[in-house]
Amino acid sequence: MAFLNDLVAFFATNDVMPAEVTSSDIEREKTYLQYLPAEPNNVWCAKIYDTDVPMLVGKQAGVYRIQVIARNKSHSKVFNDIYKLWQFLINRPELIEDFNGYYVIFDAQNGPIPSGQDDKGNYLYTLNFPVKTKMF
Amino acid sequence: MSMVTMSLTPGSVLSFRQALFVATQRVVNAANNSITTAAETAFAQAQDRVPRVTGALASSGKISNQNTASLLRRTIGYGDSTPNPRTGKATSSYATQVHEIYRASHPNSYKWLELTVRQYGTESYLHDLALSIKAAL
Repeated sequence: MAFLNDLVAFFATNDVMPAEVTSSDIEREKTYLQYLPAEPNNVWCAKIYDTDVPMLVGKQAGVYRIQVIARNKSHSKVFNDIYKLWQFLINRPELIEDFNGYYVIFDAQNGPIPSGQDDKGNYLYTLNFPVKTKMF
Repeated sequence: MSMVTMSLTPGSVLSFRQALFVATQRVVNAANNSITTAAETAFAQAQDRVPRVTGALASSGKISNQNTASLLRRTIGYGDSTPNPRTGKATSSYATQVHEIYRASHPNSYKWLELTVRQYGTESYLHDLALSIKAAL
């Protein structure tokens, strides 16, 4: 999951997503990779849910399809947070070359999707976007 | 020296325009039929993957014809006002969450519609569309 680690670290550095949770963290309201935990309530999840492998016509670049889930007890908090990430993405459509040794292009084609409330009353928003990269 | 003589009369221009109109209609009709077939194929595959507990969500799936004067468009959607027989909630109130949030109880149903449409593929759709238009001309 090196790519996902780098992606979350990049967003955290730019203050649009909490940092990835680690096993030694006491504060657990952070970002989880690939799975959305049952606890705590106020968390983020970043996952790769689909990929397009590199092809010659694509100049050897591949695509990771990323889903970000934000969950929070507060609707305004979760909406503002995911909206901030989306705005960051749509303001960075260019090639980002200094991405840990490879490049990425964010292609946020759709905005945040309100995904209702879970059984505990937490509000859920998802944001899906492909990331083109030559890190394959 | 070779020469080509062309004569245009109001009647011949009208005839040419009518022939163009007929050809355009053939192309539009072929594309319209092709897009309907593509949507029906994708929808049938999505119906194979949609999670089924009560069947309400699967029953709410539909293809909408959203053609405009200049655009051929089909939309496949899930969720409407039909209540879930177990919870009483309208399928529209939970369809998005079921689609977007992975559930271990239905691992193959995660993003059933998006992944189905992507796997059906733009290239296959365009290939079928090109064949339909070619056959119509």
